[in-house]
Amino acid sequence: MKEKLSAMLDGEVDDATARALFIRLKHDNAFRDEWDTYCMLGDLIRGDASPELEGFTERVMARLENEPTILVPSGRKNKDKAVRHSWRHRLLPLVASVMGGLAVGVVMAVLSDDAPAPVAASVQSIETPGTVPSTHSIREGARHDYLVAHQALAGGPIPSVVHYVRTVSVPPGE
Amino acid sequence: MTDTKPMGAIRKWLVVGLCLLCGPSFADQPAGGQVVKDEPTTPISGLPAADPLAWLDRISGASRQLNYVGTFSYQTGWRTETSRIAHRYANGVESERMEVLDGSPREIIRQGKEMRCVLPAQRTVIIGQAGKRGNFPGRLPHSHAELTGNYHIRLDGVGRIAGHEAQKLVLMPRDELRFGHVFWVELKTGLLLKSQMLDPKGEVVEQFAFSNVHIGGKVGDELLAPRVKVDADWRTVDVGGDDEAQFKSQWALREPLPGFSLMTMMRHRNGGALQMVFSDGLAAISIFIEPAEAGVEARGAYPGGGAVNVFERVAGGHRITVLGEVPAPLVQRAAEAVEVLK
Repeated sequence: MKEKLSAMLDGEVDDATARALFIRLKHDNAFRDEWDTYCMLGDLIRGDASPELEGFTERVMARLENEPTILVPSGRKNKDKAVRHSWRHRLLPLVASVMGGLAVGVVMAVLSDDAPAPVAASVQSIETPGTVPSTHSIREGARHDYLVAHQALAGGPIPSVVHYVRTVSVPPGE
Repeated sequence: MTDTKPMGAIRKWLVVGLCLLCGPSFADQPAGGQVVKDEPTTPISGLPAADPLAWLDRISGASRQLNYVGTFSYQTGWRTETSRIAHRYANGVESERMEVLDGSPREIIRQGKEMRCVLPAQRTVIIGQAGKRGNFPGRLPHSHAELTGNYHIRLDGVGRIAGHEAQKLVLMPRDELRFGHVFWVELKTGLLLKSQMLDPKGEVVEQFAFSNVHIGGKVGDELLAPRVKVDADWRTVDVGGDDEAQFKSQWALREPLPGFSLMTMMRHRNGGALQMVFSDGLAAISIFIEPAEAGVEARGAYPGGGAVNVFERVAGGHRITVLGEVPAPLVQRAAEAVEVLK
């Protein structure tokens, strides 16, 4: 039902569905709360939000930005919190770095049939993060340093510092 | 999981909302909110030329010798990042500051030949030498004929980029060992406003484009000063090095890379890698050679971000890493061709 509510707010439902939703809104308090929340977000985006919500969008986006990527199998969720905490702190930067690489790899694979897929070692490190050899993260860092050295000597037609965007766009650990 | 779609819609709204909130500030004023004093722009090399190669010369001069302040986007695949840039040319010295506006505030500062990349999330500063060999096309082959041997070059009309009239210049590769390029060059000054790199299928691999830019005028020190505070315990990486005489090197390519010439060799400091740079006049690849860790037999291809491809292999107890803004088959070919001279 929430999906229909979302669709209605996007103007993507027919008249009959909209009528049914309005009838339910009249009688269902929980559903009306959902509606209020959605309307509030709409106000926020249009700039009509109440003063106490100032900065809300930025705060939510910051929270989303900082949200850790959950890579632990669901069965591990019940394990001791402290253990999970240390696991995340140890491996997330590495996993994030590999994921960044993979994301670009997928793009390259889509763009060009000739582009090779990322090597098996990279894929393995996501599936079994506990077995990632430490040299892998060192190599990620080394390749990053190589890229900076390359940009410095290779240059290009683009204004000089602009091509360093490639270097800082997906840095290791980001 | 039933609320997946509504949450997706909320995120979509928030992103759209942020774009709406941020948009006008980018469009209406120079980056950084600083008011840049209006002064007439200065053409770099007189009237626009009908010769495509002359346009390439103009791009080179303009990017070095113009003052400009602007905001540009960098796009590769589905990833887009917006950055702010300020560039000043005074008394023969270039000063630049670039800041990525999305995500952590990564900053690149250039003062003359000295370049610093500051990566706050990694608590790392990378120090290098910007444009050590001079900028494009100073690094071009000695004759333009060599460039035209690798690319079909033509002018393709005048368009409009970031509010400026721009000459479109197309460089299509004559083989599949290099990417194609499309440039949009500001008519009066020669500043490159937009650049696309195309793969052999004609798809855009990466793109730089100004969304707003103010050309000419005074660029104050405040627009060029570092803003990210660097703590004493941050990691510092020096990627600088010293020239290496070619005759002293024990490394070479078994067979030449079509259209590419060796431009320079450098030995990185503190016993670092040997770097060889090859260029076809537009594209460049670097070959890094350093002793491999014991027992390492790594070999493989990696994406390097954007148009950059990387290939690594181990040979003769050394790790050979090749990277550059070229299609993946070429970096692999280069890596396979590296050998120790007998």
